[in-house]
Amino acid sequence: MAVDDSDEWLFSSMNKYEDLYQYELIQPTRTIAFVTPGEIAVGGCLSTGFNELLFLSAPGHLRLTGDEQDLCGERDFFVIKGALTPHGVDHIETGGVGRERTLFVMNEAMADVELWSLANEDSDVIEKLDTMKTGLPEGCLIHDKLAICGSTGPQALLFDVNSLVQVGSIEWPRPITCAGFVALDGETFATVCQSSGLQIVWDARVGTGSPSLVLEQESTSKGDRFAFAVITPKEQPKIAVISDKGQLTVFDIRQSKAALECVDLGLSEPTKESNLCLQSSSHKPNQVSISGFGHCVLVLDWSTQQQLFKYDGHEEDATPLYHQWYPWKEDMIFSSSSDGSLHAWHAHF
Amino acid sequence: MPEIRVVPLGAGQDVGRSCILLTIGGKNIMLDCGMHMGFNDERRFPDFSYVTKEGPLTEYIDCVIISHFHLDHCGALPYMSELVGYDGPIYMTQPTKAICPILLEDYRKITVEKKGETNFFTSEQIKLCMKKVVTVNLHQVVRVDDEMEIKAYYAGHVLGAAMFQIRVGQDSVVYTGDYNMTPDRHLGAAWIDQCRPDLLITESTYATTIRDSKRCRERDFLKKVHSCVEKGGKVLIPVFALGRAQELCILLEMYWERMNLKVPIYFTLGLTEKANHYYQLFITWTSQNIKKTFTDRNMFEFKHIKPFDKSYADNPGAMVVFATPGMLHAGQSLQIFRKWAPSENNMVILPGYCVTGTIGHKILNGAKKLEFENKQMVDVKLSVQYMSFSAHADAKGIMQLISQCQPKNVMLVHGEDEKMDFLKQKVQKEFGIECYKPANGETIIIRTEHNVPVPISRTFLKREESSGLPDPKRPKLFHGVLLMTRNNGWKVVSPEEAVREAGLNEHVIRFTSSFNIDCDSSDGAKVLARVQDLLEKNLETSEMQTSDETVSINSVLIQLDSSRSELLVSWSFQDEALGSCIFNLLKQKLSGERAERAERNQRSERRDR
Repeated sequence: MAVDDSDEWLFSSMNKYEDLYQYELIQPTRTIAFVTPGEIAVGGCLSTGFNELLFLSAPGHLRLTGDEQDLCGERDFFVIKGALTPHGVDHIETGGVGRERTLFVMNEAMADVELWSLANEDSDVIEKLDTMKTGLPEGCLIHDKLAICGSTGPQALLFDVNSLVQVGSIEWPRPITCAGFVALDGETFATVCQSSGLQIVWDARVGTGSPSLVLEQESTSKGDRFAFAVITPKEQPKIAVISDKGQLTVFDIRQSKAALECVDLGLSEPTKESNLCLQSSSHKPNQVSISGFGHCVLVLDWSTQQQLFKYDGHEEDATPLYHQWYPWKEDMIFSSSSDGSLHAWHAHF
Repeated sequence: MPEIRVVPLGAGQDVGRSCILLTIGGKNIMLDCGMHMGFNDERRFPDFSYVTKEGPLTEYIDCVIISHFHLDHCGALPYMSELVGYDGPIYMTQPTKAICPILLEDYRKITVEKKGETNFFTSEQIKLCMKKVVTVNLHQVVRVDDEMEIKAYYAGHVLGAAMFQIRVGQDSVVYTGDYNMTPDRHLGAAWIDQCRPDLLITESTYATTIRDSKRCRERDFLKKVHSCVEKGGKVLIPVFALGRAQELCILLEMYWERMNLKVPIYFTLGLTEKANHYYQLFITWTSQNIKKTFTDRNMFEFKHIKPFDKSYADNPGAMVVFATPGMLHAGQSLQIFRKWAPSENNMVILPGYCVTGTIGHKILNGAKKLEFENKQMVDVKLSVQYMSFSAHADAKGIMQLISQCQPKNVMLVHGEDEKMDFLKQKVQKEFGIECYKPANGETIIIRTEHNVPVPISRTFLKREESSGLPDPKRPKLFHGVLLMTRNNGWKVVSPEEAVREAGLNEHVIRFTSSFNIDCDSSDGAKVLARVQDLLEKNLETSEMQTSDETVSINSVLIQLDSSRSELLVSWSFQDEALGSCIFNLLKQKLSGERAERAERNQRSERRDR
């Protein structure tokens, strides 16, 4: 019996991947928010037409283990709720104390943050609740009661997530483009400048004076674009920074100016359209994952500089957009690409 | 106002006992007649009392259409036709007609002989029911009667499954049954043309899911089977004779060949013969790949898959067995299961839905001990796996089908979710059409618009559209006369043509209006010149005729009555729009000028004072 190309894939994948799930969204997503164990949110990022904002229940196979997983035939996502938005979705955050079942959605074209409610149990349509007028484009982190907004310029703004009122601001040492925000604990946050690699950690306690800078240091990695991840945020937090020249540097936040590791990964330069993305594993603190260099996602042990796994399941001619470690199943990673693909795969073989 | 009425008797916000009553153009059609596999009482059949409280259904139903051979779509057919009573035509495809009675008989045996039920149809009644069947071919227009015609389209899903278009006059409905928009190994993908029905009734089984790719599901299946046999274990795959079994056999055959595996694969007798026979007979219903290679090699004659003998179940070593029936509720699959269940090395893979009460259902719910007849207990230590290979369209597939056939309305059936607001919103946003999801017993009424094609006289058309023939894609309002004659049918003509052809006397209605203007007997020529100038500047017409005392365009006549300082404007009924326009224009300009002159005179007088 002749074996065609699709069957060739079957055989080659058997020798490459453990668990593997491949989904196709109607629009590509550049964000994957993990809402609760087994529930995720994604949003289309096209600049024209309507995009779908989706709140999905993960299949049984991605929620269960062992015998329970075997008995559960579900490999499909279930659309719990959805909505159509005229803007491309850039980033989704969830939660905030007092804002359970709320999605905070950032659209690239708008300078505000939209709040969408998942609370209505009588309908499967996500309802738009409110808009947080930040006046700043992109970049938001929701942590407990605090939202930090604004990714470009001389400052970021702090908002109370319940009242949506600004409660403070952070002045950067110079105008930067934040490659996102990460909470280290309830009061301390970290960011890295996307264009210079400058790393900043600050104390954002509101009500005790203006937020103060705890750490500010230049990047030692060479490059024009940077992405970062925080490793073990609560214990001995470290910042890992990857540049578009393929240099990975890891710093201990408490011992500034001393890089723990700095390694040239020998990766080919990403295209202008690629999204540089670096994530750390919540289960294995020595492991990080990188995408944006070609169509693959790489998993590394930063302490030994060893490449542990390479996922090349996305189409070669599609641009990788985002990936994230699945917090409720060890070694599972979700990744998305510009052709609408959303894959879930085991980061080991 | 013409309308289409739909009421689901089954599969309204539910999966099982699909049965939809459709009223279109005064005709009543029953779409599918299925059984609900989850019930053992009267709930397993559709509630036919919606049609009539007592007596046969024949005079109330013009025809029955069956989409495919799954029992949740045809399982109640013999009950409806022989126990309730129906003698009209039942339409289905040829493979469906061939396979339906086999599945009905299998199920009858289990229900009556195993479970001891009495109020159930007999083998003879199945035969009598099938005698009423009229088969249809794909894309063949079948005239049910003088007014109704139906046409079948390929649906994928299972062998012989079809989507049906029903047309009565100008109204049409497409009913999909179950379908699949992505091709299988042994079946193609559903396809329909841009038939623009008034209503598309589509299944919505997976409307709120985003499905894992077929290749990942196949990969998972192959890994599990291979992993088990590699360790010397036995794999049991309970299947129904026809359906997904063929898909899995082709997949395993391909894998065994490529991996050069020597572990034997079997399927139970009866399964082999039937499947082979039907798939060869209906080869045109299979996938492109199978049709293409059929002359060289019959894909259903497997090199690695052999007929099973029950003595093989005791053979040592690894093997894979496909055995009927699919839910482990009886027969060979259950016998093999009882032998292999106590071993941890073995595996059972259930590739489909298992009805409550069956062994399949029990073990999928985690049962570790099972009691059989004579209080025999069996330990369930083998690995139990559930893998769904059913072929239904997901949300993306449903949107694709809507895009293909371009209906004016959509109705969702055969789906369990009550909440479909998001899908309805997507359909409305994407296609600008209404989307319904009725429950069982809920009637949906769709109003339809009829276009009546009527010939139109070319002369009349050209007269109405001065620049030549109108653009057929842009709507335009005409005023004409619909002339109907005994011999020549009907057509739209101008009033003059109608009067002439009908030999009638034409009555002319003219309107005349007038307004005061400032002039005396010597100003007549000046006023008419002014009128002429105004008309030339404001109207795009070159058909103005003038005389000493009048100005005219078409039937509009403008005349000055100097003695009364009035300008009269007169027009015929046909030129109502033009006449009114000219009258208002002249009144506005000329009366306005008079008022301005009066105003200027008054200002001048005030200055003088």
